[in-house]
Amino acid sequence: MTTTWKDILEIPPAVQHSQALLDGFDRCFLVGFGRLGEEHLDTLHSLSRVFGPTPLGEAFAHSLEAIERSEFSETHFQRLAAARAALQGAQHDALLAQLSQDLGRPLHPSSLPQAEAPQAPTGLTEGTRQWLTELALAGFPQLTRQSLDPYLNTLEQLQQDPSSARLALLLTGFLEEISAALPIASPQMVPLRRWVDLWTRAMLLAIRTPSTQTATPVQGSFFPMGVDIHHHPFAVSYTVHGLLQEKDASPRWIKTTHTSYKVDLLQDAETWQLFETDPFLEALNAGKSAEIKQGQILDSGELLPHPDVQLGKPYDALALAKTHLALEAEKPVASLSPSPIDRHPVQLAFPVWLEGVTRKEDDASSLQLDGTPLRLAEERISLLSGLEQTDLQKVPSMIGLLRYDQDGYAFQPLALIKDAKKGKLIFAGQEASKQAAAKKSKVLEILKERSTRLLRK
Amino acid sequence: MSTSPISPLRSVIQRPDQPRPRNVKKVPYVELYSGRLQGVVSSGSDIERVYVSFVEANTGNFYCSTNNNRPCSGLNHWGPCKHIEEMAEQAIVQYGGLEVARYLGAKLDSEHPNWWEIRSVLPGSQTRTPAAEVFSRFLSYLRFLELPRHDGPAPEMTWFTSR
Repeated sequence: MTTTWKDILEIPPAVQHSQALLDGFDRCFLVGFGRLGEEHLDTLHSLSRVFGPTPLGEAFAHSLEAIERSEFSETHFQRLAAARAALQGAQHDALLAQLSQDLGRPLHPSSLPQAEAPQAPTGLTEGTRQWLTELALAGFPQLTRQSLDPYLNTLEQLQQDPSSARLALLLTGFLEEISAALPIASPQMVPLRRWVDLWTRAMLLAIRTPSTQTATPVQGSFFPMGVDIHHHPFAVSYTVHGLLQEKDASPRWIKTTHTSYKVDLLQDAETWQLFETDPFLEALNAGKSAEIKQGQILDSGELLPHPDVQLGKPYDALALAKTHLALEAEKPVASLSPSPIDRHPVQLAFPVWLEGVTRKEDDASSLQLDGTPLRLAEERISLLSGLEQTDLQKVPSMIGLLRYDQDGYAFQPLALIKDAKKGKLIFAGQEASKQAAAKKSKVLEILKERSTRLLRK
Repeated sequence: MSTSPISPLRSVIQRPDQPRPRNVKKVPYVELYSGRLQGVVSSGSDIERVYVSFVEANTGNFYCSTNNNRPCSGLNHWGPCKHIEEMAEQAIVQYGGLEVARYLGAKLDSEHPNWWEIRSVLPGSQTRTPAAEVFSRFLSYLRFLELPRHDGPAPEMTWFTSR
């Protein structure tokens, strides 16, 4: 039986059903847990029934009773966050399992995280949980400047603490986003799913910094396949994705990530100057493999920073994509799963090679795969990627990541073939290493010079 | 943010209005914060000098002074000085006129209001206020460039795609 995109892109029914529970839960964040009505409590009770037989069941039911009695200790909100995260973790797993099965990709075994991570000072995490609890009690549309300002001092300290880096990066973005939305004119102005996602994530990370998976030594050839770039006004993060070929093993799709704070004025190519030279970005730019002599890798496919790397030989990215990432690939690459606590539908990043993509005349951002539509994830295409919108709306062949959001799957391109005759791939982030080495940023220079004038009386 | 519809059920959204690069040399710092449009403006004549300017939302009250709290000589009781004007114009470049008008509580029909349209519907007069708060906001903004980098997994950044 042949596999079709129509089957692959079908959303598993379990995922669809759980969506309704999530919707109901999130609506509590519109009125605020301080003044829930009957219908909100009903939803929370149905969620409680879903968790009944699970290890979370009893604790969740207990916390729900407490909230009904208007007992709002932050422990109860930790449990609410845990329950919501578990629901979305299950959605992630169902999506990954179906995609892996349909595309014939073996699931790489995933170990439970064991390595104890350094913990943030408890004063900071307590302060964070307390503040998050207050947000939940108030409800997002009711937030004002006064809801945010008292937390700024804690956030500044969190930003300085390396063991809290993930939490601090998240909260810096979340706070900026709420701040920019103030004053919130109506509940319709709240991106509800998103903000409850960010709230949940922050609450989990503020309970404790998650343990990490055990890192295993790794050696082999890394073939970069493009860069996924994320940013909010005050931070930028990039992930180099690619295939790792180890000796006598089937190839794995792995990645490596670096993140830096920034200021909102840094938006264009100058942003790359925040980072140190990266051998993987250099390899991508040179069209050569990166030979990993000695490195450490997690089961999630995340290569730990600072491996011993040398530039290798030119590689045929197109041939690799066809062999390992295509619809009916000869040697499908293994699927990797994030650490359990990180599983969430937004983390789904399933590498695929698409060819023969067409578009309908009136809808350039919907890719047609043998008549099955797949949305182009325009919201995920960074200006820093160097990929051109006009190309993305017409090229037939691309490497990229299948993503998932509320309305189904979407495609985030990592590389495309612009000129079919030459057949050469253009990668997202291909110019990054050059831009990082360019002459020093003008914006940063001006800002620093002006601030010295301020300090001089 | 503007009045364009927000997708309430999406985890990752494209922010409706994204800041655009302004003239940093002229206006090194500008923000919509704490009920004010406020910023730091370079002097046009003296490279050594910078001004701190603000316009308060709804009341339209304004002020401009140098870094050592000397009032700007361009100010008068009836209207703001050219530093305030420059700051507001750069804020419009960065945030868009609609967003600046919304934040300041200026009710206008225009789709792309300019500073004079916004100013014309705001009341307000000169209100003396120390410059220190805006300076410290600018300095804490620059602090972002000194914070430690983070190498290794950062799954939370997956949610963020705006500039």
